[in-house]
Amino acid sequence: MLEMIDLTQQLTKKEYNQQCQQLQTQLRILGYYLYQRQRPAILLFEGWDAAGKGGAIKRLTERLDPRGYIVYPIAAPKGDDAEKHYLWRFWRRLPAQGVMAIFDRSWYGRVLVERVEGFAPAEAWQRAYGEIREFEQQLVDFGAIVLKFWMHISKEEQLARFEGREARPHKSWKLTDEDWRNREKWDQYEAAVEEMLIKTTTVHAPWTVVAGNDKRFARIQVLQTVVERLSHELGIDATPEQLHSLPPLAAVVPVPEWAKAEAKKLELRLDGTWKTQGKTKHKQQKDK
Amino acid sequence: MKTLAEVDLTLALPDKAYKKVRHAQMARLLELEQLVYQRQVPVMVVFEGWDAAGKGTTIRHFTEKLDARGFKVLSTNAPRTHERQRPWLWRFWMNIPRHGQIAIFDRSWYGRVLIERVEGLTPIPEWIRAYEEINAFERTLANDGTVFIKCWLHISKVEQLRRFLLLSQKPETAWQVAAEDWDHHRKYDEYLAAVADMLDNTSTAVAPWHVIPATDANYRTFAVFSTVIAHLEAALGEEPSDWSKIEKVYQRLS
Repeated sequence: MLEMIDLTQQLTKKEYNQQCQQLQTQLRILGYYLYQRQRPAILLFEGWDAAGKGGAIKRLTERLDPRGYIVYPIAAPKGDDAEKHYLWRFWRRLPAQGVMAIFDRSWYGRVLVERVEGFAPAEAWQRAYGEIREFEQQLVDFGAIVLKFWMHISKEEQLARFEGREARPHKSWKLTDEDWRNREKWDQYEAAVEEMLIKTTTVHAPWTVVAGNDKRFARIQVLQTVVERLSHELGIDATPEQLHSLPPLAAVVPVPEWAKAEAKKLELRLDGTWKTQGKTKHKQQKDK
Repeated sequence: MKTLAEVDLTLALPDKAYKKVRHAQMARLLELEQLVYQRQVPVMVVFEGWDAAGKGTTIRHFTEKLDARGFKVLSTNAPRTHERQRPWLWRFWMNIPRHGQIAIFDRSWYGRVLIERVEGLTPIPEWIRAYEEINAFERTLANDGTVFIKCWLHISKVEQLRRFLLLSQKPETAWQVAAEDWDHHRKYDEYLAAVADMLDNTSTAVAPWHVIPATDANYRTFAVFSTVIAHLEAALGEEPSDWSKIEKVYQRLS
């Protein structure tokens, strides 16, 4: 499956900026409807080291209402998490209805790092594909919208990025010995990824393989996928042309009569502008 | 700390000046977030304020350039059944940040002495007792190293009415003004008295209140960012940033 991805796809800075802003705004609106419909959303990111998981997550959340999402960075389990079933720490972190949970690495560690490094015995990770499918099916049955991203880059691109990180002091903390060791096992990981994609992609929880060599392209692909999927699941079209015809998020209460009277006394028009001056006194609040 | 009567609600910041400083402030906030994590300092940022004063928007701008793994945002609403079965501060203890994490509260435990007081949801002796309980709560956390930044976003009664009317005008935003918001607006003066008491009784050395003039969105964001940055710089022993050039450009709304 991985060889089918065209890693040469690119976007210009201009295209990226235009699309990014628009998609982020659409996503914010969809986030409100997600809350209104009380459906949970679960997004997870897996991928090569330096493939851009963090960057994609950042662009997803940048313009979101921070009250509507939570990001979980996942690493090797510690404390209580390590003493329990490998799925426990994910059950614990499932989002409430209406909230989006974003996992930076996830339960797929079981069939990736735990398989390749031998942290889990063979029969445990082989069993895991079915367990994961069942786990995700339960989430979907509950009403959750599940999106799964594999951030894919070429082996050459990874090397270039590693060397780039080494060279820049404010990024060098991101590169560890472990990253280089993982790179040595590239082929083993690739096999593990292929098997993961085939065995755990389902109708309601499909994998999206992201062409990650061009960061801008990758981020837009992620944003677009999320926006399309949420729009489809919620039945909401949040594109700029459709904004005025979106259904109301909550019951609209008409302005009470006493408020209208109060406004009249203050020489305030019903649209919030002042009667005593021709123009609006205060700049309209932008970027609501 | 300025009292409510002294606060200048006409302060504004022109777009050009704001755009220049916004980028620098967001970058500084990100740096400070990283330092907070490195030094393992717990931070609690509390936003209280009038309906339509801009708490939600301010939080959104505040978190825009922050690393999502370093903060969490908690919205406080009416207590749920299981929360009522325990002491009222329990649900806030449950949500305190880890060392090195920033917890941002959109409304908070101060609801006890604001909405619960004015709407009669809590008996009088209990909300009277709450000021000391709040101070003790914050003091305990401050002793553990928590940095508190408490902001009251302030607008006038007239400005609140104007914003409600503006929001009600368009279907995309009208849903934001609920029936109870109109109700609270009618009780503005009662709420004002409750806010004044809150500021008097719960502004302490370790957790002072900051009244933020919130009429102008640019000024509001600039003031909030400046306040947070100053607190964190002081707590972390960092070089204080200098935004005084911006102060020269303040406008006054007529």
